[in-house]
Amino acid sequence: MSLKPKRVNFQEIWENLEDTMKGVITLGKVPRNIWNDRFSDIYALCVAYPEPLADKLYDETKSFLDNHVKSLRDDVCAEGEQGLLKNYHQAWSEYSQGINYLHRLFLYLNQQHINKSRLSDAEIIYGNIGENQEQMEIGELGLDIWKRKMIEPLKEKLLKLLLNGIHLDRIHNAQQDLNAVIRGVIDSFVSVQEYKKKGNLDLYQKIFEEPFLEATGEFYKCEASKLLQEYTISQYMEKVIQRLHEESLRCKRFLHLSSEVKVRMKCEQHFVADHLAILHGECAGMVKAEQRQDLKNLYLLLRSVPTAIAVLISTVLDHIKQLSLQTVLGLRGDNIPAQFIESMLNIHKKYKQLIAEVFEGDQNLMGALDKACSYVINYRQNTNQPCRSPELLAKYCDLLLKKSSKGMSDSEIDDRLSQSIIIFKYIDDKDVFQKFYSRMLAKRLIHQQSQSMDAEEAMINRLKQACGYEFTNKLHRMFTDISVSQDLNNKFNQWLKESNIDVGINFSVYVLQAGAWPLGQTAVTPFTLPQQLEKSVVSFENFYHHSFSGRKLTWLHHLCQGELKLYYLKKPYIITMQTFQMAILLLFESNDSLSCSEVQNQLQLNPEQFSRHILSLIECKLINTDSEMLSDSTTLSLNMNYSNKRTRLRIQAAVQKENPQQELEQTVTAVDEDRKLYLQAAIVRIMKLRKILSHNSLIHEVLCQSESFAPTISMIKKCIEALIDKQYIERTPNSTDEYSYVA
Amino acid sequence: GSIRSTFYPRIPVISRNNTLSNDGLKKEKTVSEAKINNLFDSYRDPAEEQILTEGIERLCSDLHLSPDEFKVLVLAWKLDAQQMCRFTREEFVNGLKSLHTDSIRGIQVKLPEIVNILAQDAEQFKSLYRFTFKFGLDANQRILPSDMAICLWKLVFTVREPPILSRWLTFLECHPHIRGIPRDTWNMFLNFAESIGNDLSTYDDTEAWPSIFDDFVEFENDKTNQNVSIINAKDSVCNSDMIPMTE
Repeated sequence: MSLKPKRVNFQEIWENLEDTMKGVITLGKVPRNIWNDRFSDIYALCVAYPEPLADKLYDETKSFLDNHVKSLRDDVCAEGEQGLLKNYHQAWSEYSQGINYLHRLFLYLNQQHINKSRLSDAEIIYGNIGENQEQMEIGELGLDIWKRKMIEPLKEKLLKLLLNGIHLDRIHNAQQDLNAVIRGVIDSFVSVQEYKKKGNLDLYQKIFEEPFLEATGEFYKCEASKLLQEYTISQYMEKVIQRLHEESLRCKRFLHLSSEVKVRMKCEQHFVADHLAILHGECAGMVKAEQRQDLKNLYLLLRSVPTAIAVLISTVLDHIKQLSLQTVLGLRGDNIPAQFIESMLNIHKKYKQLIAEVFEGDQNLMGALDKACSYVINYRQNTNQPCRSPELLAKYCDLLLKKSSKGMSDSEIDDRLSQSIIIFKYIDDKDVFQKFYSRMLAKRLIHQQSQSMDAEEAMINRLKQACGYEFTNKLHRMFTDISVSQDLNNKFNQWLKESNIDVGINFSVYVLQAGAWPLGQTAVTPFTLPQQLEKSVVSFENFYHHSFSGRKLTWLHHLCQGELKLYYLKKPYIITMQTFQMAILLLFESNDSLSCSEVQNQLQLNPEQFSRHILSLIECKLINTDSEMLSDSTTLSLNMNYSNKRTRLRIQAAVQKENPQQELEQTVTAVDEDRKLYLQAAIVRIMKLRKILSHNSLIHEVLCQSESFAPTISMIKKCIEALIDKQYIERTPNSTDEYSYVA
Repeated sequence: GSIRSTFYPRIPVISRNNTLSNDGLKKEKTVSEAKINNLFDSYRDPAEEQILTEGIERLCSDLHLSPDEFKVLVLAWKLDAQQMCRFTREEFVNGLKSLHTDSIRGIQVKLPEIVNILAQDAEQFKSLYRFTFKFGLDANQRILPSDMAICLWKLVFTVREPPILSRWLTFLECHPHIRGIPRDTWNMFLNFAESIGNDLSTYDDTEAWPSIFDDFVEFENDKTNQNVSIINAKDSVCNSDMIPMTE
């Protein structure tokens, strides 16, 4: 055949073409050679001479399709409502395939003629679309005609039947064979517009989805009130979750996937949002009884409605708060620190698990748990008294780290210590904890009471991880002082050997940095060193100043101890005692009896220390006295008849009894002072950097910088005032709400 | 009306000068330093180059004033006196020169005029107010003891008394643990009193007010709140930190 344009007889060619088109659109048998001929005919018409007949072809084809769809519609409607869905579905299946073939037959017309006159994509997307005024490709034309001639006239009837079909499915009364038909019909509303670049779901949404959603709403509204009347709330929730599940399957079965979310929202609206008051009303009881299944269901339902979950969250928060407060305030008996920490840990563990299992580990509920724990741990029974938790936690750690933790394996101790960090994180007054902890650590280190140095170090590292280097700096320094001291003692002994000095006793020293240890210089009381110790002390000072010139050593004799061998008794004893006790006993080296005033003159101890240590020696029967009450003239004499089953022993240290309440208050006062200094330093640092800052920004920055405690606004304000008074900062001249740094 | 009252304080000063110059130019121009020095000598302490308590009492009585009167404070302000109960020769001579007067009569005429100005002019009053704090301090003091502060507040607010003043002073009297008033608190009280008027509900404790105002407002609010007894309110204020007297 020739591709050259030639004169053609339109009518003749059209008749043939129309015949073949009928075959194609009805999926009849069209032989290959006929198809090829018609394909060429269309080409010939499009390029016809003297003028192309493409437009005429297009118009004829259009009216052909018009007529075809019209006759299909008559067929579809022939059986009335009875077979409407089925017939429509069948006609659509055939037509949609047929039009697809037809589209291919008209390939030349589509590509060469229609595409040229088409608007560009950009024009369609951004410009006004006047689709009706332009020619469409044959496939699209066919679909458009279907929409106008088939769907539009039948839409009400179809909708009614579709809704009815789905309704039957909802009440479990569906005709199974109809399911595919319903799906197919609904699909046709989408497919018929699928070629569009924009708004291709409009038809589906308008003629089907909107009324469907409305019907769905109506249905579930009734359903919800029916269920509520018939069942308890627990059963109601079960049913609802089941219904939601079914409905979601139904959506997948029948609808376009964009509809599922909307349907779910509709259902949730009527099942949950409409009955929030009832659900919220039941919430408290369920939480109180910790009904896991109910809570799980409630969570699933409430989660779907914005803000509805808040009630559940606050109820859970209150519940945990009340329960733990009750537990904590009810603690009685021995070992309150362990009881407190362990019961809080149990509560924390229990509810963390519950939230994970019942509430899918929801962050908001985890937040509620945090709030509740933090509330209880920082709770003060009496607002005038400081919170006890920091102290209790420090004591708990002390108990675990001390030698005496009975019957616990190392790994068990380690485990409990790492658990205690959970509580630590909730504590507001971390600096108070630090004060207590460092004091107890100091005691353990100095008196060699630590179970293991590894455990000590591990604990300090955990605290560092939780609260930063600054926080554990002093603890670290204490720790290293002890290990450095060991080395130092070795060097000292070496030095003694090299210098040929014999101090006559075994002697070892801890050198502790004054700034790092919670050992006040104020505790240093007057004391004249016994002759026997003097040489060691002087030698060590010489050695130390030789090695580190410029450092000042202060001897904390009240923290020292010594071992004394007693040879004047029936058998020799080795007794460990405090330095002051030892100094008293050493006086009896040359005298068997001395008066109190003689002892006092020699040692120069203050009266309180003096009597305390004398009494401790009397009490353990190393020393006898001639009167019950001590006075200057009381005679003290060695008990030459002392005996003890053990030959190596430690006598009771004459410890100053500390009043725990007083200790707590002192600590809090000390912490308070530290806080003021900390805040003032922070303010000066910030102002130095910023030069000028408004009041609120300054407060904000200070709050951001305090990690180890939560300062009150009023405390920050007072620190600002103190700094204004000390002229570190001033108010800017023109504003009362702004400060500037005074260089 | 308002314009007149705004300009009123300035007009009489100018016109007064005019009348003076009309009366006799010499009188205005020839404020005699010698005369002032003589006046100073007549009051000064025999042993010092200063007018001390006794001299001030005589000066006041010659001015027909009592020493604890507002006008005496105003005079001290105009003389820029560094300390209470003491005028140095320098302060006295320079001060009277700046007042353009060299006689008791002259001072008597000037003081009421200045009081008038103070009553009208916020800036002038602020200067007097700030001066008063420094004036009240003893040598080496940085914080004004509360009892002195209360007296000085009463005195300085002889003019322009803010509506909140009496409640504020009652608050201070009820809380003897507030032992002193730092300069910043003193200065800010004027801003506080001006901004608050008589309505404490407009107070915003997130602004940069010294914390003692927070306590004051809380105290006043507790007092008006029927549910909270005054005793409790006092307790809560007493727990707050004291202002240190010395550093």
